[in-house]
Amino acid sequence: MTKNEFLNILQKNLMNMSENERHHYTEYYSEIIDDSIEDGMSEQEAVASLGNIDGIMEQINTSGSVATSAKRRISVFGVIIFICASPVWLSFFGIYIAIWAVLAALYAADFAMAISGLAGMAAFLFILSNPASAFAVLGYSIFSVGLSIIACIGLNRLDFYFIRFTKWIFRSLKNFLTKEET
Amino acid sequence: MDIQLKRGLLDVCVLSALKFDDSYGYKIIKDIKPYLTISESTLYPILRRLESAGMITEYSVEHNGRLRKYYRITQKGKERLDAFSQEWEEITAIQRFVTREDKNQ
Repeated sequence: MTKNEFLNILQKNLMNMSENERHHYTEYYSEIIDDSIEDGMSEQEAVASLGNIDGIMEQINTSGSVATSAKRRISVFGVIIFICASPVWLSFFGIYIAIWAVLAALYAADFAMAISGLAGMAAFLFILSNPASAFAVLGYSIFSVGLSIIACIGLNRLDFYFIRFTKWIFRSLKNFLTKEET
Repeated sequence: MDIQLKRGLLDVCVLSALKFDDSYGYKIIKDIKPYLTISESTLYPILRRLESAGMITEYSVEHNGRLRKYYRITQKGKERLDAFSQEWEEITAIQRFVTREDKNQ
């Protein structure tokens, strides 16, 4: 494994840490590898001498309380900007709420479609005396239940991305309103 | 060796590696290895811990076109080393007590 490959894997494994802490770790291991190479090892040997990434991660995680991520405190500048920009973000917040409302409405429509389909299936048994109508109703019912299932899967995906988007907004907001203590 | 004991000794060993000269990660590991097993991933949290305890400070120096981080022992770190020597005398006394022979035999 090359130094860059190792550092990339390390970075990916440290994703749950603060940017500052991640940077410290990467800098540290990069320096150790460079020094090992200077000491006569090949790049591959230098990386291999660190041991496997799982072992390194275990060490990092068990010493987590020691190498804690930097504490964050409220950034006054961030809060002032946040308040001054409220006319802008409040209107976006309105759109955000509206999107949730649309999603809720789509779920309600989907639910109604599923119920009407199920009701149609039940009705089929009662109108069997008129086979033409009965089978038309059954066909409609199966179609509508099927469609509601497909729509539900689609809505779930939409939900998933929208929740992810929400998390991202909160994370960005937290980073903006607080800063790391140095 | 007992993990807790080793942990305490590693802190002291890192401070000791900086006793006479400032040093950097790779060299600290090399200096300690003949006495105590230490890996790169073990050293990092120790350095951070000692730094936040105010026993060492760090600074960067350009070396072969890259930055190398050096560590320097502080007064507080030196005091820890002195305290360790005193503590060790007590530990040796305990060791003599633990390994004493039965005088009645």
